[in-house]
Amino acid sequence: MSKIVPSQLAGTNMLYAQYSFQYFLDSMQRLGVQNIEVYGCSPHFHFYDCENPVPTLRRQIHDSGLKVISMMPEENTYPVNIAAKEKRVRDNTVELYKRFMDAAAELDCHQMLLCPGRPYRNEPFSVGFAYSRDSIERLLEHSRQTDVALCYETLRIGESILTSNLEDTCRMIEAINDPYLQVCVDTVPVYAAGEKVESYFARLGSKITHFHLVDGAPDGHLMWGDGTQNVDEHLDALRKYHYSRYITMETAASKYRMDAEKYYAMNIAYLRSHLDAED
Amino acid sequence: MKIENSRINVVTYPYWHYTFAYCLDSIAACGFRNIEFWAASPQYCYADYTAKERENRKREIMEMLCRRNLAMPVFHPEQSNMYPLNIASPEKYIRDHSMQYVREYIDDAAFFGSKVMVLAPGRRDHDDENPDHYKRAVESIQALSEYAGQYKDLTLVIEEWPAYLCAFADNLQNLKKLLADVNCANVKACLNTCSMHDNQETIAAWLQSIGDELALVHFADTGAQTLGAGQDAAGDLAALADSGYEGTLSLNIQFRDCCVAPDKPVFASVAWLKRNGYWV
Repeated sequence: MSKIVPSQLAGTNMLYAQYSFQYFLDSMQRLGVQNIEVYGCSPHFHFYDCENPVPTLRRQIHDSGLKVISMMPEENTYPVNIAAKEKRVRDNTVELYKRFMDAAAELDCHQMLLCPGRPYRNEPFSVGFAYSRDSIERLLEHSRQTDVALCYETLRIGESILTSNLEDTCRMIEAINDPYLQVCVDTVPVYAAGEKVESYFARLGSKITHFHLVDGAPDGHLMWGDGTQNVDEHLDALRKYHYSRYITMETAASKYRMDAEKYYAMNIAYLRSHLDAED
Repeated sequence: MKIENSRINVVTYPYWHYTFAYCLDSIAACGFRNIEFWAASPQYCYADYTAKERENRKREIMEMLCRRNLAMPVFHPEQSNMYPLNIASPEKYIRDHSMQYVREYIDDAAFFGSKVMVLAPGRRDHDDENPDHYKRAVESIQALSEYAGQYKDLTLVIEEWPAYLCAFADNLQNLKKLLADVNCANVKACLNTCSMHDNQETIAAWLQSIGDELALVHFADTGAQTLGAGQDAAGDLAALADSGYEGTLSLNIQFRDCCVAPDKPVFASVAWLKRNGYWV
């Protein structure tokens, strides 16, 4: 068993989406968080907001002293969809995501989260799978040029039918079989599907390069203590498989959004009491 | 007073993950004649087309409606709940393109024959309470009202928003103030029964406060559930029927994951309306 320590934790601006991005950065500093996963949303950081938002973001992050460990463009609510039947939607999405990969590289961050897209539920699964796979393979070409890996993230069945459990995840990862296509495990869809984190590590091993540690009842992206998940069970799976990369606290439920820092602080305090001490 | 089914629309939101043809087939099979089209990608969205493709898609949508003998009295383009539009943004780039997209949606509403279009009032950051943001929201809504004025029968409606998303219209009192400050005859209120209960408000209070400024009602059972699945729908519909409200109403099912299997809650809600005498 290896250790899982506080310096592996990362914050993300998802819960702070209704605050300014500067407020989020200041809040992370106040809370003692050193690493951030940039959630690409408007008006924090998105190509919808100006011709080139990267210089401002880079300056803000540089001034904060925080380290960007992952890029996560909004992929489930905005008009983007790598598995869309409509070619223009897929093409627009792929081009937009390439810009986020370029931005990640400029921030010296070498991974971007990638969700599977949302095929129509009343059309053949195989068709949606093929559209999604084609989009991912186009993005992987860009991965080789930018050295930004894609971290494929499982969703809940309510978000997408394409990848909502371990078998679905492995289907895409194994079909494409590219070193730049890696996996982000999120405890919310894992728990919602009635699965275990340990099963993901047993099957996917070192393909798992990122982790979202969030409570849920069974879902909801809750802060730890508000849901019904067992944080120690998750952490023990990480220890058992010697996971040494970053862990994002993706607390995001709307009920916390009027007082984001308060709930983020409570979440961090809870997690710290379950993590190991730094060496 | 009864609520005739000819006044009841169904919001298409639960069918977001389905083709629009499937959505309309299902709605028509339930017996609806009217839809409130919640427009988002890939069914219909500002971001998805060239100008020519957009015109083609609009014609396609009208043909799909006509083939099923359906109408679209209410057009509800997604703006600020899920999408990154903000007509009150301090950033000119964001505000300008948000305004342009909403103007185009106003044109779309007229094309679709809608009498009502749902308008999001914009938002500000929680850590920036500068009153200029509210002033910009008012000015932007007034400008959109003027633009919509070219379509004589079209009304823009604003509903209550959750406080975490929009401080400008987060309860009845603030919505009423916003409408008063905008002061345009073609900008009115939408009562959302779920937001109303969240804010501990009542239909009586709404009608007393808003009165003739009410142009649309979004209704569902507790937590935006299927009618009959909660505790609120029976009382809300009875109060609305007794109130003398003669406008249009939309069944607005939005509970978590309703998009997984939308047919059943819509069908069950129609059955509830029939059982309770509202499907006349």
